[in-house]
Amino acid sequence: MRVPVSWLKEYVKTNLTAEAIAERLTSVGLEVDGVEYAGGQIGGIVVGKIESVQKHKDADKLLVCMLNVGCKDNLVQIVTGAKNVSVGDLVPVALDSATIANGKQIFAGEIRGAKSYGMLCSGDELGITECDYLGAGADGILILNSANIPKADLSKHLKVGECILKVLGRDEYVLDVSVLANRPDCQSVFGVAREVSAATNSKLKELDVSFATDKSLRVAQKIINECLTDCSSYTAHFVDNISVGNSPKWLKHHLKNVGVNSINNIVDISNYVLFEVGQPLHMFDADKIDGAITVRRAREGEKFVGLGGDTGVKLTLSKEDIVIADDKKILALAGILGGLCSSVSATTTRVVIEAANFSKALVRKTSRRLGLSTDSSRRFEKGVDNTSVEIGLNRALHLLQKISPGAKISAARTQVATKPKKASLVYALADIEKKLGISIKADTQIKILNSLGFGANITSCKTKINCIIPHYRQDIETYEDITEEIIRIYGFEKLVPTLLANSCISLGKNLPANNKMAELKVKLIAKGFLETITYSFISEKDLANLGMSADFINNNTIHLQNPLTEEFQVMRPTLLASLLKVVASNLSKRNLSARLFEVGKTYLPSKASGEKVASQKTKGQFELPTENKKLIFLEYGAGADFFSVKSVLDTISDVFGVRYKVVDNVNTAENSYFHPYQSASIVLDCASNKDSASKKDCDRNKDSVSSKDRATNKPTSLGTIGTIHPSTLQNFGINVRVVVCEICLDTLFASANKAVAFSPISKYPSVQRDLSFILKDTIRAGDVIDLLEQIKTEKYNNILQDITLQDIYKGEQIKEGHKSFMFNFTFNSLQRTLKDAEINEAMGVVADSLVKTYNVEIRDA
Amino acid sequence: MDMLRDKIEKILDEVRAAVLACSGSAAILDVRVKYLGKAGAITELKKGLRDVAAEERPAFGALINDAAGEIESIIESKLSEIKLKELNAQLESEKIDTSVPSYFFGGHSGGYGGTGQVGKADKTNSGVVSSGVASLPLGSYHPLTLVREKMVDIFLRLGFEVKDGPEIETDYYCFEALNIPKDHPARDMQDTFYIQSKSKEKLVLRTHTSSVQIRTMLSEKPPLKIVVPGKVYRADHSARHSPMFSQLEGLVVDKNVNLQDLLGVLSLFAKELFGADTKIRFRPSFFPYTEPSVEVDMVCIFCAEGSRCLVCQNSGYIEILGAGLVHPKVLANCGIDSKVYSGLAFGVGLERVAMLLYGIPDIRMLFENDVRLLRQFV
Repeated sequence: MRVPVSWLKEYVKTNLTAEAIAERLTSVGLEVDGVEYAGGQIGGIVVGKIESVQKHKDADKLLVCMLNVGCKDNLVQIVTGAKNVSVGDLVPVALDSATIANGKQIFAGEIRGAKSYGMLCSGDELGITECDYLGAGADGILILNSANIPKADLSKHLKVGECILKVLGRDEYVLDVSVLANRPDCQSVFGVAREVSAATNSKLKELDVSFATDKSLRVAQKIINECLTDCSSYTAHFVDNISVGNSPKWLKHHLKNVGVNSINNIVDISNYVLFEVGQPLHMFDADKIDGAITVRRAREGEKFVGLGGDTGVKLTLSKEDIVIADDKKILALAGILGGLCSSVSATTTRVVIEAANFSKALVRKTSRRLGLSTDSSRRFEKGVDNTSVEIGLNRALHLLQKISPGAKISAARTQVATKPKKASLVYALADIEKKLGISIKADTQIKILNSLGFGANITSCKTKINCIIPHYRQDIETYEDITEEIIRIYGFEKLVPTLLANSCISLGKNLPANNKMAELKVKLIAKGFLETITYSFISEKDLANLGMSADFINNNTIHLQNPLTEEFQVMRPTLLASLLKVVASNLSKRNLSARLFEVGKTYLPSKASGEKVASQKTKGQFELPTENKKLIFLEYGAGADFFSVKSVLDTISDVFGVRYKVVDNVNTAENSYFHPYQSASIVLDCASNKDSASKKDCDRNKDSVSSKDRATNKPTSLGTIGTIHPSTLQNFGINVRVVVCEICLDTLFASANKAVAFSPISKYPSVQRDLSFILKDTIRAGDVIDLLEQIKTEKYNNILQDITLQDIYKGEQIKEGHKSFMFNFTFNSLQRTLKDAEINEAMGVVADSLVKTYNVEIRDA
Repeated sequence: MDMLRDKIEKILDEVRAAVLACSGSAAILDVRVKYLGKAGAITELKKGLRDVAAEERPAFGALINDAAGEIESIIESKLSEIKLKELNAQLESEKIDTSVPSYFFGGHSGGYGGTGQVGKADKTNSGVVSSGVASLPLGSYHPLTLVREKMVDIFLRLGFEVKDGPEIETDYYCFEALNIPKDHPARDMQDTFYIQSKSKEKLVLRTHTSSVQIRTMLSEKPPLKIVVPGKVYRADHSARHSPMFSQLEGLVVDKNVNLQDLLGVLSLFAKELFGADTKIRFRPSFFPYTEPSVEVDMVCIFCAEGSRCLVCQNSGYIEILGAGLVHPKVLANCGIDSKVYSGLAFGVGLERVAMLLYGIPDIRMLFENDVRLLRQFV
């Protein structure tokens, strides 16, 4: 909100500069976003009187003027191309080095051989129009004395040599004030003045609201307020014998500085009061009203033409809108916009002036729906109080009589829901001290409250203060509110920092999942992964690009009701689409390869989401959609490799002590984004884990995952890993390999079983044995390893230490459809040096099992 | 005897000459065989002892043994000299250019070091293949994670407990319990994302982490001292606003919590986050869930003498967070008696802090995940 400092100073006596006022206001809670000089860039332009005009010797279209600009003995010569100047005219003169409104600088120079020490200015060059200053719209130079200033007054209004900004009322600072939502009373110059008065301890001048009523006049129209909840107060006066004309200069200047164009003296008054007192008013041409004035809801689809432009603004209303109507038509959209048909015009002689308090919720709804935000609607949205309605109306009538002296004012016609009551509040000094942590003297508190308009005094017991809450402070309800009033004026800088000295002691504690997450991220970063953070919402198209059908997307994802764009429509059920988009955008910037990861949530509808949880008594307990913490990590680029990503999965498995297995054929009808032969689902490997604690975790996990899984004894899923299908990559515009692993962190963390403990190290030498064999290509390495591990566990746990796959070979010497594996076995005992014979025996058992189970052909022993 | 001495002298001279002529350790070993081996000259001399008179034998024997020792030492000394030479030659042959960047030898993983290419198989000038692991470039935390961890760490040290909660919330936790009335503008579709749902209860994407205040106060009894980092959502998209952003919420509820405590906690927080000289001020503000409410400004740490400060627009202050004492209605909504307990609360936006700390000009850059930006936070 723009607040001109000179207007402010009409109500509060202070010598402080605009900057100082801004600082004080900000410190008491009215944030001043900026202090602007109303004159903008204009400088060096003064009032000059033309003493002589001659034709330019060498140019027919130019005139050479001699001007008096305040230094009597030195006239200034200026060449102008304008034709509308003559001797005796007072004109704006941009002297050498002056700056005009558009920021252009004017310098002395020569025009066709004649010296010119500046420029005569038009209204445009001063940034003003006809409605700011009569004559400003003229073609040519702005003749300051052309219009309605009587010759006798000329010298009083216009001094030669005076700065032009003073003449235009623009030598002025304007504060840009942000008003908080709970302080609608500050949405006006007078409201801000009240704060300045309290903040600077200076006197506040009362508003002059006096006017004379003419008892012989009556409001011709009946007022019917159909819904007092929509409009808790409606008052109208009938004013006769007005003369519509130009507004006086002071009024125009103030309006210009708050950013409003002058229209005519009557309309200007309602705008003036809006900015000065904060009360929106409306003036109707009384002769354009047919019958009674009714405050009612609009009918669905009812048409209305509001003020705006030459032809008005055509609107279609709904039954949520409040309107002011007469017997035949809508006169105004309540609190937002006046109607074209009832507007005050140059020929108007009688008006009905309205002041009301419309429901802020309804005004806001209508304003939002129609995309129509006006100075009036903005004030109603924050709320006005019924006492201010009356003050605003009276102030307007006072000004009306001042500007249009013959105006006759009728008594008021009013419809009010409830007369505003005076509210009061008693609080204990001790309560305030407890809230603030410091004690402020009762006298000081009373002084502060009174400066804010609270009638405050100490109670007889001296421990409490009784205060009357002013009508414009409907935000004050409890002593906590008073606490804020006192400390904001007293000064927050007087508080001394303490560190919860009187509170319980406590130890900082992070969530276990966060600690695990930190551990995880350290490892990923050590492995060269860059952390990304992407939006939780994605588009339906992104999911379709992963191969999901429209039906599936509709039934299995959470949609926003009001997404910003289609890009942000669905709460993501997977992190994959987001990351593939990151890969695509990086590729487009020639970032050709990287390892990326993200930890984030995925969102799935729970069947009962939004339904009340029956067992909970507390309010607001509803079944919410499922949010799962996920980890995704990927490698993209020409060298992206499945096993490079799998090695990271192994790292994670080691870090958390969670054994996993891979199961092929991960693609389903709805998730077919993986390379069919380079992908797998990852499941918890409960069987191979001897540790009972971890087994229990597995079981518990199964419980938490789903009852269906438990019933079918399906292993708990941990995630998926694989190379992305070339068709999917193409959908996302990616032309390099991408290998991805997505893991459910809730499952991972719940199964984490990392107990750090020492196990003894053998002092006896270990023995290495290799075993090569040929087997069918279709047999998975994992299954062979499982068998070997099983033999180890069952028979040789005390001597067989390690089994590792050393080599896989296909090609020459190996028959079609077969491959060769070479495993390395490490034998070792804690108790003794192992004998060849027992190792040979073990290797024999291993070989036999392999032959028996997988029909392998042993190559060498 | 003298004859033997002459013989030995001759042999020693021969050995010296032969050793001198040797250039490799193999040749030296040949010399050893020639003189000390089974058919060697010294061995021959020893065999000749049989023909010497018994009483002279010890003296003769000693003479020969000395000669054998002498030959051994000549050979040994030359041998170690040669071995040293050979070692030095080997070392020299292993010379590497230590200034070659490690990623060059990164094998497969080198491909992710920013060169955009996968390592060649024979990337060595020494015969020693460098291990890929050693040259793997570090990854990095997202700047928002760095900021969050910094903040969480400060509050952990101050004795706060970290909490979290759902991002899809009910209207009750997000607004109503926080004293945000039904017709409050924050609840408009223009500001809040609503979830499509057939149920009666409105579901929203939480607009602030304050909803977790309510969840915690309802499920636990005071004293409470919690911080809640998390993602939040508002319908706004520009250089300064992102539809998804992050907040860290703080809440203390105890018997004697006051505004000076709020100042103390936040002063320490600001100093730890922005530097020990950081000063903050309170400015009155308004939030429905706190009373009094304050905006916390930090004295601008970017203002340079004489030039226009783009960060604080020359105001000298930067707004960093909103805070206040918990509104009695909010406590009441959670079944906490505001006559006994009071609380302080604050909420800080992480993106803004990240932008300030790292000089990132546009909030959208934080969510673009350009590898070139991410790598800067290694």
